Amino acid sequence: MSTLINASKDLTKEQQALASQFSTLSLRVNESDSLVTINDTLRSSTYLLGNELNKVDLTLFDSILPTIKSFKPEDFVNYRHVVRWGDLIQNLTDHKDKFEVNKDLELPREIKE
Amino acid sequence: MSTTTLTIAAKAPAVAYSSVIAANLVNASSSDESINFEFIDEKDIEGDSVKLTNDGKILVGQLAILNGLADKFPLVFQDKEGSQKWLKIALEKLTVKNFKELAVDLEKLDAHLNFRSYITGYALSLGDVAVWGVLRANALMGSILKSGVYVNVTRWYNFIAGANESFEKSVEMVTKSVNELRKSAKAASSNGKKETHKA
Repeated sequence: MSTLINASKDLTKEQQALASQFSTLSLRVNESDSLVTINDTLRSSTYLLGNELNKVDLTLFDSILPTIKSFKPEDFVNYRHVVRWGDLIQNLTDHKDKFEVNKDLELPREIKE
Repeated sequence: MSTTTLTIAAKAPAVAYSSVIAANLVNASSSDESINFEFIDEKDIEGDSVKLTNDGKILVGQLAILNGLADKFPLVFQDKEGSQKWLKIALEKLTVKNFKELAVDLEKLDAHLNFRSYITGYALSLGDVAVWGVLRANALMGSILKSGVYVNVTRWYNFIAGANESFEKSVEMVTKSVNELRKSAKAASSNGKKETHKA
């Protein structure tokens, strides 16, 4: 699993700040404002820190998985980016206990404010 | 080892970026094949924007070239079968320069990317190469991507190029080659010669 991560790459200052923010958030993932923050980040970013998988993704994934598994249909709409990111992580790491997602589920398009 | 050359019509209405990227991905891979590039100062080449020649065998057009390279290099281009639907949409629909028509298919692409990080699967696929290259060649797309109106399309587009340097390198190669071609065409215009540029 760790071979997926390019550990030799140094994080920028901004990424370090994000990493510590997500470490904090991973302690309280069942709160809706945490989910909103994570979802907002992942709207424009494939991984938490940009274009590459980082340890932070794996840590947050482990703590958020039970929450994703308890998602109701409307949560798939509201936290679609968390779901997409979670599905990427669980498949890249070949997780044993995957959550189900219908990737062709029709959702209202997000309108940019 | 056989010689493979990708010939690109530099004045085509849409530059064949997908094919250039595909060739650069092959060159950057661990296969010992190396594809040469040739840019010609024409609007088309055998009725299309791009041609691939390999030992007398000729593939014309992006669909034939992308599928031909995927057959030959399945490790470089994942999920050829699953990508076909998006190759078709990319090459037939996402090339249009009418915003209203284009918007219909961008909405489809945006919906497709709600729960997907790649066009198919969990790694770069043939579909990603096809769609990215076609969007890059469409003059309408620059401002659409920047505006972020299609949030999933913009995220995916930036991710694909950000995670793999062959994409932007291909764009730079095309720009540089087209500029050099124009320069030499200007220089040769006095004696009326058509020039080619090998990248």
